[in-house]
Amino acid sequence: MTTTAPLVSLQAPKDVSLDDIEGELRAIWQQNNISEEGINATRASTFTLVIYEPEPIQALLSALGFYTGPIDGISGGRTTAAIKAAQKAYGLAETGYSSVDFTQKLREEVIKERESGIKSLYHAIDLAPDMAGAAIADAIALANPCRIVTISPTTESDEGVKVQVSAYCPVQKSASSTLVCCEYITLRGTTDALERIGGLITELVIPELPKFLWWKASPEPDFALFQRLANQSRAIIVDSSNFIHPAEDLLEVSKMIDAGMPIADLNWLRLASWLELTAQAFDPIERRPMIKEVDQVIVDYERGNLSQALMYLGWLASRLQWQAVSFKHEGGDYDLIKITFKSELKENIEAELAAIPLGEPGEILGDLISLRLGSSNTEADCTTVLCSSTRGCMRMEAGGGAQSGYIQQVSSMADQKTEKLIGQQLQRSSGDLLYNETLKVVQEILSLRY
Amino acid sequence: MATLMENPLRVGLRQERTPEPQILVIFGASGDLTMRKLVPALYQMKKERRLPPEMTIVGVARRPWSDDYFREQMRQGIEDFSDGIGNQELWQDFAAGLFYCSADMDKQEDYQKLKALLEEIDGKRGTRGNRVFYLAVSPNFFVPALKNLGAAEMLKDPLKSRIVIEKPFGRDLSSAQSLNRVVQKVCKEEQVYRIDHYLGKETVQNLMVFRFANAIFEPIWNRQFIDHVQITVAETVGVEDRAGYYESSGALRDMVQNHLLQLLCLTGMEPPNVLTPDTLRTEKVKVLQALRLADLDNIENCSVRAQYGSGWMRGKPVDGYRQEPGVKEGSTTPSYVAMKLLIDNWRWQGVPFYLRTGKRLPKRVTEIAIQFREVPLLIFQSVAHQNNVNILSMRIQPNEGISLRFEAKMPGADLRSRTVEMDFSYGSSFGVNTSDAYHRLLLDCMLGDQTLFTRADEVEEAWRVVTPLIMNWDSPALQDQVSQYEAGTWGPSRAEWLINQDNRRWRRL
Repeated sequence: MTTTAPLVSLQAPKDVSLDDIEGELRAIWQQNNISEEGINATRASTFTLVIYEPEPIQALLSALGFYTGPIDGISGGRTTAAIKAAQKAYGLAETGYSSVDFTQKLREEVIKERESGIKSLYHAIDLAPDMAGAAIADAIALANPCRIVTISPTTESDEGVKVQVSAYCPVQKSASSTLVCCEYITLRGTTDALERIGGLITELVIPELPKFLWWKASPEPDFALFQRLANQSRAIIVDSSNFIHPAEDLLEVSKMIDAGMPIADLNWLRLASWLELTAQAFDPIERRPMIKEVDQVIVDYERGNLSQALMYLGWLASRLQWQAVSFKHEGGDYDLIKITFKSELKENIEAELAAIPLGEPGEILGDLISLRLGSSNTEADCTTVLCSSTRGCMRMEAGGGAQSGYIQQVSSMADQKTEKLIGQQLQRSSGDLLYNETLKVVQEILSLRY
Repeated sequence: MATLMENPLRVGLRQERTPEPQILVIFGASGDLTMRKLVPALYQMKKERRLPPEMTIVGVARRPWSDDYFREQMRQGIEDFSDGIGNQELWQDFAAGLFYCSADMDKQEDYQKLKALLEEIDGKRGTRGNRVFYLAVSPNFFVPALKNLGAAEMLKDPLKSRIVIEKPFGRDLSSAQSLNRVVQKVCKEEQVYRIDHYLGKETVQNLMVFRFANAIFEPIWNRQFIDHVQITVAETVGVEDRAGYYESSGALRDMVQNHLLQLLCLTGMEPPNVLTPDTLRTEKVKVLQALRLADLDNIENCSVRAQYGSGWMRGKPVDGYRQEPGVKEGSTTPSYVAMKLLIDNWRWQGVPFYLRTGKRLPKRVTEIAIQFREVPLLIFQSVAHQNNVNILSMRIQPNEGISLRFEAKMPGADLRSRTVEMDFSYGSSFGVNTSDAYHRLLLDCMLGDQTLFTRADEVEEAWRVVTPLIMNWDSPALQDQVSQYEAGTWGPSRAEWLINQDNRRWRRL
């Protein structure tokens, strides 16, 4: 699979009016196909990606002149370069990642500019600080979508909906001489304004081709815009590591799955290594019968979001056919949650989820740190310890864990960018049954809480 | 091996790569291949949730069957040749996607009828115009089928239509070339999938992973360290009831040109840059281009053909090849072939590749054995006073796995060495039974991945390599010119002589 490819800009972001979106887009293609001098380019005929992006980072950076790419909600090379440039300009650490403080700082700068009327340095000189990342296609562009519609709700005053269009083409390694390109449309406005033009948004989706929705916020099934966008989508992609109230939001998601909506969770993809290695632990023939003896589970996760830990437990329970019996939130230093199950063979299966507070959490909240499966039956060789190679195994090794039958270090996928995961998700043409079954159990577990 | 309890954690874990909704049109649907291999493999995939819900299969053959009769036949096939139906609901769902069209492969009108049926099914089942045409028919029908499909414009869209062709692909170099020309006139190379079912085997694909996912083997995989390579494909069965086909092909066309040369390619190829279909197949073509018979001036010195005579298999007497039903009087079709090949490139210059394949050999085994050079200086005495070398043997089937033979110290007071084996076996490491080759190949066809299929130039080069033998062995010969070996033994004495003259021995397996 090609991991990087150069990106050719067919049309830099251009502000257009609401009524003329299709017309402007058509003009781009005509210009490039009829004249002999333009690039030989066509629009892809693959799928439409609708992104609901409430994070204002790109919009703020664009207002300050740091970011000149399309406001598409995709954090590619260009956005990272722009963030770094802004961080450098304001004397912050150049991490390339945004944070709550960083966003706040940008907001302040935008207000300052607006009030004083003085444009920042970056507007005056025709400098494009994000050019460092401009030439590389991000993982989503590589999937060759035909159109990306980004809906960016703002919290400012209602000034109607502003539209921007652009077009980019990733240069793939195939032998064809035509560039296959993607149209980017950005719609920015308050949620009321966006709801007003709801019909127009639905029309922007190219008919007869699949549509994906990437909802970069907590799921809101009662939100009219959500319903409108989710309607007829091949998959509704969310990321539970971003949920503000993970437990409640996961419960919402499970209800949506029950209603038949094709939800996909990027956070679930992050669990892939843990699931595979747990399965591998029980592949050898001698160990296989031991799986029935497992009745103690401890999962450590980064404090901040318990989605991954809950989904891992849900998966294990759904595979081993455990029924959730009780849910106790004990709290304390590790914010312990104790859940008990029962199965056909075992009366009392105990699971514990522990939130480990970390000084410097990574970009993704709630990554699994380590887990241990054990049994009250000391004769059974089923003790399995999996620990993340970045955070270490020490807590799991205590209490005899280091002597366990199977210890494996997991290189965590935390450094896999979210965009790569979306790229993976878009390749799938059908739903993930395993995820649906896992969420059913998660629903069972969480209903015991409320 | 006793039935293994399935690992419940594994179920559904590998969820990637589901094919798009499409129609699989199988020509020759009333035949053996469809009932024994294709439809059971598809049903297995359905059980494993790897098929899209819109998947549709249309069987095409001359017999005037109905949709329901076809479904019954396929159900029988799955019961007899696979794990059985299992869940009744699942079968109903699968059967709802099975259709039948009675058509004569020579008639143009019948293709129009088929085209109309497919378009109707597109609407009903939502298969979006994607088509895979599978030619599970005798080779005489390849050309008319291709020409008619082309005339009916059913292969026009390179992204939405594909054609899968079973072996044999041609009878010799010129027929393979002309078949390729027909194919190219009708569709693009990227739409063609030529099946060599050996490439679908787990162990054969493992060859690539073994060589290129491990850093330690590649540095010794060349003429500096390897003495020779033996590739053996031994069958215990005789010609059985396939004499009609076998008489005109023989072991050379049936086994060597396709399966053994593919195994040789995978053993001898250079590491590809990326794992894309074309780069991989280009590497295989490179090896084939440098491959030749060891002694082109005297091919009797580097090749042996033989037939099995009457003998004993498992305590029962069996007939010789010439006594089998359907075999011509005085037939010279070889049921056993052994040959010595050389590869003229930097990596392999001077390393002989010994290939042998035959029917009615003592054991059913497919193996690639790489024998390494001897130690420069032997400082240990072997307990058995043998001169033992390192042999890396990759067992393709049965007992799939890889083993490395090396010398270890014999426990005791003396410092003496003894041969031991370091063994990896699929059964005990993975605890799964390796799935049928067709399973993987069908999935790849439907996904559009050509990696495990042979390319036009690959097929032609393989024919080029065996052409001297074909020309020599096809010409009329006296009965006695074809050696005989007793059924149940490892081959004729000439085959022993072939390798012994180089001071080497065939492996006793």
